[in-house]
Amino acid sequence: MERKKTIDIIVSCLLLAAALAAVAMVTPGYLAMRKPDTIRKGPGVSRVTLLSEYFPGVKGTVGDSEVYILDSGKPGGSALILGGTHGNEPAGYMTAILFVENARPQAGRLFVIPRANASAATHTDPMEGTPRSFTIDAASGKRSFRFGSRATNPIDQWPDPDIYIHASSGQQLSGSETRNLNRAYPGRQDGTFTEKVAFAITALILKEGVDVTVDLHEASPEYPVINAIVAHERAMPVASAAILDLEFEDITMGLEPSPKSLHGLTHRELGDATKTLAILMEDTNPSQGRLRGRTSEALILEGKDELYVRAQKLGRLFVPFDEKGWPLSTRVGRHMAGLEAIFGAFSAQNPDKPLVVDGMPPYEELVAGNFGKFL
Amino acid sequence: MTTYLLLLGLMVACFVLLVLVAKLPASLGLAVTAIVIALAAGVGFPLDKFVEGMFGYIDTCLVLIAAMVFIKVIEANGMLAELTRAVISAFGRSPLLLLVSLTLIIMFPGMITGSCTASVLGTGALVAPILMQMGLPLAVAGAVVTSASVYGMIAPPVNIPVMIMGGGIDLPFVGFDGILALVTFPLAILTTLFIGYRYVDRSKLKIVVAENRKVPKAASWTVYIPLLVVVVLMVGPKLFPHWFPDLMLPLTFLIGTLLGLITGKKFEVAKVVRKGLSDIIGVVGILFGVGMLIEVMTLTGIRGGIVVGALSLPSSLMLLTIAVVLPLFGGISVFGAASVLGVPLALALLGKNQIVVLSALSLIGAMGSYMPPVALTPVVTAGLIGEPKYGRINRYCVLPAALAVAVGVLMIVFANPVAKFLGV
Repeated sequence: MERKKTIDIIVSCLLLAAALAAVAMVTPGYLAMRKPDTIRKGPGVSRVTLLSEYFPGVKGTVGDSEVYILDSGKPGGSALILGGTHGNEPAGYMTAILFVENARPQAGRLFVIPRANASAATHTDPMEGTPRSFTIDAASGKRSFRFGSRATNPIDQWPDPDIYIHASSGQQLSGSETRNLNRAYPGRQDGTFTEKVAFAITALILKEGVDVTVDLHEASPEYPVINAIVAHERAMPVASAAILDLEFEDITMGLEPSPKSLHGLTHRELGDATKTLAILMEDTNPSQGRLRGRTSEALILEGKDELYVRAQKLGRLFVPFDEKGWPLSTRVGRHMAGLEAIFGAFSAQNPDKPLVVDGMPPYEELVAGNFGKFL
Repeated sequence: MTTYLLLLGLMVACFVLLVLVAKLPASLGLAVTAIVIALAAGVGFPLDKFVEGMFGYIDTCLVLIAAMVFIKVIEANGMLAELTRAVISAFGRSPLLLLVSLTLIIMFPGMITGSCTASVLGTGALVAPILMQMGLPLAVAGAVVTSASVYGMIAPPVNIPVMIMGGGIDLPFVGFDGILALVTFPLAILTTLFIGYRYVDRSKLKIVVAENRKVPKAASWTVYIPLLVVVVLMVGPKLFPHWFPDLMLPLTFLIGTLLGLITGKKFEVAKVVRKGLSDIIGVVGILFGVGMLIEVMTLTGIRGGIVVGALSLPSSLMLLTIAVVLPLFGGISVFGAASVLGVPLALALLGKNQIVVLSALSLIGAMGSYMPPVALTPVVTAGLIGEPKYGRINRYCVLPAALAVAVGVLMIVFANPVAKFLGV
């Protein structure tokens, strides 16, 4: 009996030592995720500020994201581009980064937040098996970017309630959605970390009188709202004109009205709480889907997956999916073309508030895979 | 696809060998299986992914640990015995009424929190001794607690699997209360009666009631304070979300535990807390192992292979897929099954009324609570009541669970007429 107890103690100590060693080995990798990706100020950037300029409640937190301001110095409209609302939707934040590093506004002002929920980029979701970063062969050499989570890092907001009750509408969602920035709008100044970030973004829109807000997202191929623009009812004229424009360029994009019963999302709440024309764009990202095969950096970059090809043949998807997949460069190209079309449509419908931007990487180049050329 | 099938076969074989032949504990069996699969799939030894996966259920583990310590404390300070005495005195004359009311009492924490564990460790712990005093054998009492807890998880007002699936198809959690109530309460009560009524020993119950009259009441009502505070802290945030602070379950149980130390009988605190921890540590270990295995299943593509495989069956077999695969996947995680499998299945059924379909899917998926390797609800119940083999509890739940799956399938088949009839 005594011998068994001794063996138990030895085994327990060995297992504890193994656990501590494992923790020591993986900790540096997790801590490294808190270091933000490098974003270079492009020729059009006139000023970089932080969200705390609009709402001091986020000052000093991970949620105090950079706001890149591209001011043409000429009168015109104003637009806000949100990337990185969800850290596992790379085409959203890569488009925003590409925009910051390349765009040159000729009329009007642009505000770009590439890491709308910066906390979501600092961790990956347990049980999702996702890589922490992906590397692109850029013109300036190899550049790595984070692949994060859909939600705020639990380090910044924890624990989740059993159910998440959206503050202004009373809508109930599963508890984990409490850390989803795109369920937190218009936000609360005395709310959770995520609600405060949402509040700061809403405050920016109100203070700067932003005319158009575009939230860049991606969706899994089995999700019905995909390769689409979702627009608040006031933004419908601009969104529908943009869709027609994209059709002329052979870019297929659906148009979805923002559901009035679904709360907390940019296209609903920002449209209701402010005067901005709230638009959300969705693209196709197999690396966040439930049907995906092996999860890897290649899946993020190349977007090829045999299980999705099979699911497409079974009629289970809402987008075409063949062996060519949906490469990240193509998805970024679609977002970039969408932005261009939205700005064009807004300018055409509001001649007194033109939004003219040069230097945006052209769709054809991006679809051809020349993604790194602009980084 | 063949690769994924081979890996899946290897995974199952490895786990079975390790647990049934090598007699490893399930938690270690899951962990070793995860390592074997990672090596076989050619992803090497991804230590960071193993660690990350283990954190998948960290919140659940904290709830389990805090709740188990709370239960042991209110058992030791005499509150459980006092409550048992009070309930039997109040309802002891009618076994039928007693069983029905006890079923609803077990369901309550699950209804409010959406967690079957909250039911088992909350009111299930209070009710189990009463059931045994009524004459129900240990495993039968466990089966009643388990099944009522599973229905509590999906009964209104909170049904997390529906919320998860609704989130995946942009359907807000609105308009579900009526249909969920209609499905869950009758099934829960019928299940309890089916499992337990025949074992009620009326003569024994009479003796218990008579003896109860002789048992002196607790010295003070204050012995109930820990339980009352826990119930208030659990219910308050749901009833008054705008001003009642949500302390979450671990802290709620911790507060209840601290109150348990200063009310009722005195006891040896360290010994009781240690007993609670040792009773639950096995379940926590299984959850760590499951998280690790799911991480590797996702990393290697086995998870996607299972989902696409299920969706590959001809549409005529779609209902069979739902009836079989959804509960099977629930053996790893009911909430995980709702997300991974429930959403694609809901999308495949878009032509039918989605409120009825999601309610039905949550009912069918909830039956996965009984499935190994995790079998969280019966495993926790077994740990709670001291039943060494959770399979003995499950044995009594198989038929009622099959009935629930059949009801769920019928709901899907007749989703639109059902919706029209109920006006949802």
